[in-house]
Amino acid sequence: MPIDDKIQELEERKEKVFSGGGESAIAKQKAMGKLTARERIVALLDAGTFHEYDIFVEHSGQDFGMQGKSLPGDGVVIGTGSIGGQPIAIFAQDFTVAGGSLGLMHARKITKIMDYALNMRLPLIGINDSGGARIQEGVNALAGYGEIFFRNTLSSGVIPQISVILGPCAGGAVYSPALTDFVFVVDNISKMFITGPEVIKTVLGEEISMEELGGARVHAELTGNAHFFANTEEECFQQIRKLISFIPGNNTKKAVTEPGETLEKHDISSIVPVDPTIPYDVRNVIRALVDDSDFIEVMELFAGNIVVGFGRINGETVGFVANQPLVLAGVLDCDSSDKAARFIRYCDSFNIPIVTLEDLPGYLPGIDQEHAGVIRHGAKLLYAYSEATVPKITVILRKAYGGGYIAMGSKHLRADFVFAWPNAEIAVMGPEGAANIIFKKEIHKAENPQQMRKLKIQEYKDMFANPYVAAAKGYIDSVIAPDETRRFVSHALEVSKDKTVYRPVKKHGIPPF
Amino acid sequence: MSDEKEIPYEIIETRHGRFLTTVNEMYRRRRKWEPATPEHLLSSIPGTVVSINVKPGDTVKVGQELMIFNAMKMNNRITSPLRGIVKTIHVKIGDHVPKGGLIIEFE
Repeated sequence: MPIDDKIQELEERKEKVFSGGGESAIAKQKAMGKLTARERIVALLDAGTFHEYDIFVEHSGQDFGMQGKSLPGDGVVIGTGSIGGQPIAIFAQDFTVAGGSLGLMHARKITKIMDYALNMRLPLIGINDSGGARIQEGVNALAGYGEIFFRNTLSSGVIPQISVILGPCAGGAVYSPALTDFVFVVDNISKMFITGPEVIKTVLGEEISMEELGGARVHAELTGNAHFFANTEEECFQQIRKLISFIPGNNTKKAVTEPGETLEKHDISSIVPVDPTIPYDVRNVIRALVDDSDFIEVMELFAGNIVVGFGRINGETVGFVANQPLVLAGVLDCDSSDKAARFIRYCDSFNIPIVTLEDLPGYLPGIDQEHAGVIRHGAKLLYAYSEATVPKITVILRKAYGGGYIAMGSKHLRADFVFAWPNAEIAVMGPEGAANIIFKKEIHKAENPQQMRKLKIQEYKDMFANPYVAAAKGYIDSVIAPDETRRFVSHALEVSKDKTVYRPVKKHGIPPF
Repeated sequence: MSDEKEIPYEIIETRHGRFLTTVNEMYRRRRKWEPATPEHLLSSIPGTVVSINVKPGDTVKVGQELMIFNAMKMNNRITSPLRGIVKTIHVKIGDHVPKGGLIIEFE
């Protein structure tokens, strides 16, 4: 039958495209511990759900001997499928085909799936593994990047956008991931930079390896460009699947609720030492609050002095923002403000309530911080908290001093509920600093200044280093025992379900980027 | 739930007191700030010296062109930030100067 012949031809054509850059290119890819583009998609998506489009697209290069050359699928795979039942759109660059280089048709395939994703309101996942612009295609390659960046920006805050860096991602290509919500990197595989080691060596005479310049660890720990760090591609895909399970498919939906364990199971009070100078891991407090102790941390390795991530309370996804006394005493600085602000804006865009756990000794003092712009970076946090209209619940665990108290989701920035533990210290300054200023004369004049200082510090502590001064003004809604925390937070979430507040109509605000 | 292993704590001081904690890589790598020396003219960008218009002992005024410095595909005019006498010129034509490299010392 003729149709069988046609089907046979189709299969042969597909087979040719699926062989990508050929055996030797695939062998090279494997030798680097990397899967091929299609293998990656299959490993990431629910079994049997991937549907590929634009299989037979050919490149359109006409110069430098490109005409007549065949690049299967033009070095990128696009399609739709699902993760944990959630439909998603995906593209994956194929490094085995011309180094995954981006030419006009390659870019058109990517922008096509981006348009689908935005129109259908599906999360978009982009797997980046590319040597960069296809130089032979000249300005068409640049146009391609520009079209991608524009769509990343349009989609921002409408659909979740996830970038997975599984190979080189250099030059202009880095800006697509940078515009997306979450960037995943894998040790020894991901490499991101604007100008590579070669250029840096020729121009500046500075020598550095690719890994040291823009490896996964660098972006996870130092630059803050990456949100999730994995040791293998397999681990990376697990992280993506988990993240997808916590977030809604688009900005008109709520995250899928999953039944969790019952209330009042954990002993929170044993985690947090009463002495405010003793550190502890605030993630243990979060784990004690969330269903099944299941907490997915975002940007775990960057600016560890603030912890952000998702957990569920009574099955509903909640975004946590918590000071981390274990790292830099939990101070706010440029990086931690930036990290938290961005996370808060993500939660606000995607209808995820924000729970803030506060315990910080203020801002990090230092010339480097002031000169790095801690004023404008810190302002991002105030902006993000003030702007957010999702339910906002703050629990003050221990210290809430000065500007830090205002910044960390205070009543004044329109937190819906603020709770404080009885050992909380809410004051304009720490007792030592405050006593030194207020009682400067008395201390100076005293026969024994040291003893007088101690006395005055204690006096200040007794009077002001507690939650009741703030509670007397209504800045704290309830002073609660640590073990009541989950009950109060989950009740607050329950009664905030239909929260509706309006902001002045505007085109957009001007956050201190 | 809580970690039992020994953590080497350090002390962080804020205006609200001293606190035990650990520190991160960014904090460890931070560079000590040093005050600028106005008599030292440093390159603000890496580049190559194309020409030099002054010699030691010359009196220069503010805004006077000192040299042409090629960086980022531009022949940049380096002008004097102050009124003074050129003490030492630390570069010669064709030299590649890194960012922050000392170019001219004034007295």
